Amino acid sequence: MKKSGIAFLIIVALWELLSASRLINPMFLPTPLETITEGGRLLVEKKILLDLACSLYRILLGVVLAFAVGVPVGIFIGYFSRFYDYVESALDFFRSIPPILVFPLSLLIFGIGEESRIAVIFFGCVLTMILNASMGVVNSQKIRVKVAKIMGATWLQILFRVVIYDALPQIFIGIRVALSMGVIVGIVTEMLVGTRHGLGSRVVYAQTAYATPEMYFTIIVVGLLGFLINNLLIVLERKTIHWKQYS
Amino acid sequence: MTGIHVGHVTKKMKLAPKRFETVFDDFSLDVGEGETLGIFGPNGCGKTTLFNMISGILNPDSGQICVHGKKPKERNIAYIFQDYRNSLFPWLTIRDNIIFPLKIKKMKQTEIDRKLQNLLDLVKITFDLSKYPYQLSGGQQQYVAILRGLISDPDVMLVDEPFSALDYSNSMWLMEKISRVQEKIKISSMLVAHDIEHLVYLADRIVFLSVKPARVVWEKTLEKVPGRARLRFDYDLLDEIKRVIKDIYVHDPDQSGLGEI
Repeated sequence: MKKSGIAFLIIVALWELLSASRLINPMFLPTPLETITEGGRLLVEKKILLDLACSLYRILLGVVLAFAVGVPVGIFIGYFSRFYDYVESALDFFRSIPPILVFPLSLLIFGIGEESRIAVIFFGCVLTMILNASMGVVNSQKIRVKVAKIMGATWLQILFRVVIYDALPQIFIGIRVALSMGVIVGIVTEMLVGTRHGLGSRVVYAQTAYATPEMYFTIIVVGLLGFLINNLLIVLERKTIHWKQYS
Repeated sequence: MTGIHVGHVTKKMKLAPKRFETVFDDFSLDVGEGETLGIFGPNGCGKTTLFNMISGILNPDSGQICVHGKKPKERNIAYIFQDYRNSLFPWLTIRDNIIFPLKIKKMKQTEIDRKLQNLLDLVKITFDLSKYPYQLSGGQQQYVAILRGLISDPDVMLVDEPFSALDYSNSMWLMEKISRVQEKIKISSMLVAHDIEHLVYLADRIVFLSVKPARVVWEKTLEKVPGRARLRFDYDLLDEIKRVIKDIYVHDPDQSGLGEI
């Protein structure tokens, strides 16, 4: 943590040096102080907080829906491995499609409201969830399943008491990757069309108004959002999957 | 009645499509009631396959396997695996690992507590039951696996190379523990080990298996010292057995599967 803080300080110092040297047009590179001052104004006026809340709502709703569908489906596919052979190619095919590419289709189906954005976030995350959950189950320790079978466990007991726990570390990886994907897709959909509030749309508005300090501050907020979500998940993972580091 | 009866068993295992290997051909073996049978044999001779058949995971192609006169699936069998790390459930505490078989059977909590207490009264546990498996040493983890096998009052116990993943001190510790458990709980059991010392220390009888198709090439009943099972270590006997091992497995390449020296 200390080393990361030093790295951030060095980046800010380099930024300050570069902007103070005027080598780059101040229109494109404001100073850190200008950016923070603008950020303070946005915070006081609560504008950025509203954008943050709107972006978070979309991202989390899309990711939660993807989790609710993707994890059970992935576990099912992984547990019944013959089924996995049938769907593997289809999953790989859909995974190869950049999620943002289906945004126009989503707009056609759901209109320019929230649903179209959430649907694209869902599409971008659900395949990651399915693949990681199924991989977690496929790669779960066969010896533990064997132990439970010898003890007389039913297939449901084996699934819920052994296999899912064994798959949890991989499911968690899926959640982390999906959340990062959710942040990217969510912000990009906000940049495209049809929303007033959101961090993505704020960056676009700032760009059209040549408000570069605002743009820089919003970009920093997006970076912090992804960083905080990832670190929160790492802490949560350490608490819930306490055995992972020893297995 | 014998504890475990393996009668004229034949078993072929699939190596590749349309390629089979005969692991057992008319193989017979009996384990007496309350007897601990030590099994010694070269790698891949079919020891684990034999355990899998006795535990009911695999069916023999022909022949008969009985556990106290019944089919394996009708009996309660404790199977202890070599790989203790992956056979225990790391997300459960030691206590929950031990009572897992009772939970599977949906036993009432009061009954579970009673059975656990009975087991704890019988065998000594020196570590905290609220710890997780990864917080224990290898020997302690394997001991937990054995206790988990014992909690449901099994009819027989199959112990597959419990020492092979342990260092020397852990092996000694576990050997001592198993020996004390044997004193308290009389149960027909089979023990596979690659170190003959472990078998001499713990088994009532030792059989040597040949390479595939496995057959018994030598066997020896060890002298019992009632009530002092763990003091059975006999260095003269050990030397004698080591000489036999040399004759069978080293000087006879057909038995070792290793070829001429």
